[in-house]
Amino acid sequence: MSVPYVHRNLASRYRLIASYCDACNGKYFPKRKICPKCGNNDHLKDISLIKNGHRANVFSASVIRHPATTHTGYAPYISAVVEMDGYKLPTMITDFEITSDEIDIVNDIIGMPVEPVFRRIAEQGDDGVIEYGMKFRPFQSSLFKEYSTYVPRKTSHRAGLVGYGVYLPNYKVTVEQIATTFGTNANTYKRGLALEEKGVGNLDEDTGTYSVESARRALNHAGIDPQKIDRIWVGSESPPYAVKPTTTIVAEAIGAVPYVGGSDREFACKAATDAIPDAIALVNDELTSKTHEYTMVIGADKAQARPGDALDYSVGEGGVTLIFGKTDVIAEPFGFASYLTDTPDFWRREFEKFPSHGGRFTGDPAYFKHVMGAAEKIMNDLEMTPKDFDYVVFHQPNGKFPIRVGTQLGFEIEQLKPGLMVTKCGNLYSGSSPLGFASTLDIAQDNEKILLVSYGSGAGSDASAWITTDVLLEKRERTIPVRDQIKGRKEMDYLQYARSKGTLMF
Amino acid sequence: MTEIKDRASAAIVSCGRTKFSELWEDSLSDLMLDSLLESLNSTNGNIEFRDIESMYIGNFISEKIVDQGLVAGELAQQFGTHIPIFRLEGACASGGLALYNACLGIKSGKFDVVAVCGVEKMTDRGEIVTDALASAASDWERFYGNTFPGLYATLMARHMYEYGTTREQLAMVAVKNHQHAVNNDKAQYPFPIKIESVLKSPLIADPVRLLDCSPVSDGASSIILCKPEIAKEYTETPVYVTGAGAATDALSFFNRNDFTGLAATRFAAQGAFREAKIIQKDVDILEVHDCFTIEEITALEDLKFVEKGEGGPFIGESVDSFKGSKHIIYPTETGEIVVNCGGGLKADGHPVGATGARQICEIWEQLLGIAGKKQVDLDTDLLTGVAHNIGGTGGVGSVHVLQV
Repeated sequence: MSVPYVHRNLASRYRLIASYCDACNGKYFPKRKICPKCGNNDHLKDISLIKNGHRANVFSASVIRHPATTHTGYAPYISAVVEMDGYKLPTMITDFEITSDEIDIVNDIIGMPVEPVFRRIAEQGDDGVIEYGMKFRPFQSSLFKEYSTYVPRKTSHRAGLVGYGVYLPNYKVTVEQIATTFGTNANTYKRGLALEEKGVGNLDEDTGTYSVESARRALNHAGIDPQKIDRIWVGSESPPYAVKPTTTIVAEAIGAVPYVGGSDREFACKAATDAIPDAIALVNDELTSKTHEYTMVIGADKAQARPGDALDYSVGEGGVTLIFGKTDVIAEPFGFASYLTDTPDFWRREFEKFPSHGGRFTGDPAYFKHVMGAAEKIMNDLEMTPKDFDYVVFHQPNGKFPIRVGTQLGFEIEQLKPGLMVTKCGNLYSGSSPLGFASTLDIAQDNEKILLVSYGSGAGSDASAWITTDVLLEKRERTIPVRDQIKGRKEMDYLQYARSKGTLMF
Repeated sequence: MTEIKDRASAAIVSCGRTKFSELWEDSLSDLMLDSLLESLNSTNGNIEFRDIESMYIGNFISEKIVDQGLVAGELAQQFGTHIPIFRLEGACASGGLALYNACLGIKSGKFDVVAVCGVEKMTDRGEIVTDALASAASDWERFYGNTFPGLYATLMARHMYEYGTTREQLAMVAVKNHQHAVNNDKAQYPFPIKIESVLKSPLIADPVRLLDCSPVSDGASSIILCKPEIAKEYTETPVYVTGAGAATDALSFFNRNDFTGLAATRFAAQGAFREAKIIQKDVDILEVHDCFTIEEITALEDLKFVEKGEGGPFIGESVDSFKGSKHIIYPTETGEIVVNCGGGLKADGHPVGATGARQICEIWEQLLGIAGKKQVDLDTDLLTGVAHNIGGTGGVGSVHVLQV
């Protein structure tokens, strides 16, 4: 299939653009130029079904076990027709287990409630364009929030965080599973590194899909019109393309195009936090705030590791989006500091599939030196001590490093706990400290101080200090908490995990 | 009471066809020529190629499988002719559309003698057949990885959901069509199968299994037609095309209004039956488009031989109570009919563009009593046959009425 063809259909694929005829109430998907019912073509309006509510039901379906060559790598999958708000849409049903046994379409699939998700649909060959679009997955009420706008109430004078969204995949793999596969002792990782299990995505999930899903959730949390997002940065070390930004995929998928700027960032696990000062500055500054009402920072990764390597036990997946602005701020920043040196602790050369690292060298001269460097700098500048903060969130490559560095700095373990998700989620790389930030915001009260210290190999650390507002509590019901997203995840075995990571060439 | 020949738009002088199978030794051109030569030869010299004034080819995917468009030029080259030759494409209804247009050519008065040739070569590129067939679906359906079997499975599942049609009833359709193919020496699968085999055959697109599906085949079928008024100059036994209907429907299955039947069948049948001045009780034999087992059920419903939703139990009962004899009779409320006399698409084979013409060939043989071992034997004379040909998931359809 051709590139121009993908281009023409992109917006419709990402945002499910239908036509509504306001002369005869006709509902059509995909969008069209002619109203076949009443012929009043001028009354046909474009409408994005993603905006109109998110629930649908399966009308009919079938399980494709022998696909065309365009979809070979994804078989078997369910191709379906769903009904949403009176529109009938073609789609695929994902995150639904398919074995070699026949699926009872009539009794188990028709009528199933489903919700839309942004997923990878196909690739035009190994060197061609990746085609994304909307699929639907079985509806789970704990992972769903109805779309609604948030009526603006407060304008602060200073910029801050106005919304956040986290997307974690619905599957996991346990440390035991990996240990069994490689004949190692699981306790080395469970006790030694405080790792139990980590999230894994389905075959159709990647950094692009994590970015979009977390961004849509953040927009829903903030309750704002995506057209008001003026700059977007996606920080990742596993972008779907080596050259072609994930940022443009997000901008199109959330409907922020075309008056928006941004780019991708890379700085290992601190790629996202790296953009936070810029995001705040743009909406805060007298000049730039005239054209930047809201900015968006995303940390997302489908974290890679060499199979069987120590990292394989800890790498996780997911996306975290932070939205900044001046209206209805939920957390205000009051300090920033960074600490950076050229330290080769973890890297990946071009054309290498897996990253390499320095083993024990990744500890003291890397993680600890830079995290402590940034944390001490920010506290000195602010004339504050660990006791002055309610919570601290560190980058979390495993469950031990954050506790050790926290203790060394003088923090109590209770301050760390709400932000420590790695034991169950794994290391989300660029999403790692943002995930801890989000899980802390999920439970924080108003007027509490949070210290966020990231770490990216190469190496550097960004520290930022935040104070929560009462708006955090008002918006709380609009978010899908991190802890809810790790309940009820389905387990994968190592083969499925490797296939999802792309380690196996199908 | 007008005579049949006064109502007819064309008269069939003769038909011919190749075996339907994986014909590795035959090219697209070989298939067309073999079927055309067979139909010419069976006129016993009354018609030679130079008598033919125009030709209508039915073909779907020659570009994709054998890199050949402009098939008309190939025929012109082989026969050394300059006559106008047209190619009709309507996916699996290409053959039916070719006949429809051949009748228009004659009815318009422009041509006295024309030929139809439906042909398909599918086995040269087996690895892309699924992709090629998906070009009869819409781009959104392809985007979401749907396939031909998948789309009919979606229709089948909905029919089962709304009407309680069972897996066993659907399997009976395949069993019956195989039974009818046993005596068809040109069929791809001239052997009987059991219900259990259908129910245990590999899953293709749940709920569709392998034995619910018509096969991938090579083959061609040809028809030679002339003006009804001059038919007796060429044959003692003309078969008249008294009704021709064609219709369309939304390309995307999800854009339709009916998800358990095909509007294209209904509209095409209305047109054909009205023109032929017939109703269901006049029909003796039926060739329906059983690309998948569900389509025989929905065809009977859409052609109004059974009530909507009752096709499943009706067929299930009829096949289940079959005792001996060659053809399984469907005892509809308006009379006994036999459907798919030579095995239909499932067992005779389905070279896509050829099927519409092959259906005519089958009816022609049956009405003239020259079908040999596969001759249908009903209590009443065989006077009227109906051919039902569908393209894709029903984006196009044609229905023709043949009478003697």
